[in-house]
Amino acid sequence: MNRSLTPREWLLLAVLLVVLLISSYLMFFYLPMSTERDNLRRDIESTGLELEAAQIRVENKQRMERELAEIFAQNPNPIGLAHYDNLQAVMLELHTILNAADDYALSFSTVDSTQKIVRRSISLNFTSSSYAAARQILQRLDNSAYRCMLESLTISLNQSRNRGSLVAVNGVIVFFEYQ
Amino acid sequence: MQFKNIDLKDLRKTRETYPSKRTMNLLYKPDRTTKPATIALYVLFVLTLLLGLAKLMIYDLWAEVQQERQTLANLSAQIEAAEQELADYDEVWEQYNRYAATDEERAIIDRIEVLTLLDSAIGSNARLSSLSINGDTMQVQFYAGSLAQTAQIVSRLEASPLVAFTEVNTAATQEQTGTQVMASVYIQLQKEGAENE
Repeated sequence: MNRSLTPREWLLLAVLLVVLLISSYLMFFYLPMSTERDNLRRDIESTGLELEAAQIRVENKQRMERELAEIFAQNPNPIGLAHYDNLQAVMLELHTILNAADDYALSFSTVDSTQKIVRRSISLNFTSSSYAAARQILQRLDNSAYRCMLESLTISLNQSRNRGSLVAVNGVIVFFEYQ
Repeated sequence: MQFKNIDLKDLRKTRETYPSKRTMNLLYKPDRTTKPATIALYVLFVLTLLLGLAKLMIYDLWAEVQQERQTLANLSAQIEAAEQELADYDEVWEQYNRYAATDEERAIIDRIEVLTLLDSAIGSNARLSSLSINGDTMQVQFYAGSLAQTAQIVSRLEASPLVAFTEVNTAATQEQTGTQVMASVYIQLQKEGAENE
């Protein structure tokens, strides 16, 4: 049977064609493209955050390099932190320095070795024959071969000249170590 | 104006004539829908419509995706450059940790500097009795020759950039020390340069 299509059939065919075109567009172009666009946007967001973190690290590194350059410019051989565990060397150093005192006592606190920089806190008491001698001992402690810091300090000058030692020093010294 | 006189009888004698035209003159409108110019116009209209739709539905989306791709590529290139720069970060960080001052060292006021300041402020005319340094505060007791000398010592201390302010707690004479004044001074310390902040 060979007959021409009726106008109604032509219209239906045209509608079908339009539906086919729209669905093809959506399925083969719009959806894949919009999915890719959304994925790209997500990637851009996460990459942006990553870049921000990297830039902060770069700035941090540049700041550290600047500070290190300043440190080495001031002193070509600065005292670095000793490696953990440096207790024996510290004890030897303290003994060498405090030998100049009349007597001394040291009390070692528990060391928290979970951190990268270990803080070794030592309470020290010593007596000395004069304020000048005590000052010299404190100066030697401050200039120790190992990085340390005098945290707190009490100096009492005994007025009684009948007693042997005139100056009593109590303090806390902190040695820093690196692991 | 002249008038011609016509006799009505003469009119009757003339033979009567009728219109002989058998066709009509109608207005003819030619069919232009198949003319090339009209077709070209339709095609142009459809093309414009298609172009508009293609721009909105295809090109804009495609261009957006291309732009996002370009942005991502730029960001990735920047990250790569930053990562190259950070290749020796761990080494620098380790060296920094070893040689730079720790946070505590930065925060603390050097005790030896404070003692040097105290020695120079007290001088040889006064005598130190005791001192205690804790955090940013220092308590000092000393014997001075007079109240004026005590004031001089305090004023020398206050002139130092290491001292924020001082408070004289007590200044008294004692029987066994004669006219000597035993002064107790509270000193608030500060990091050098902090007074300008």
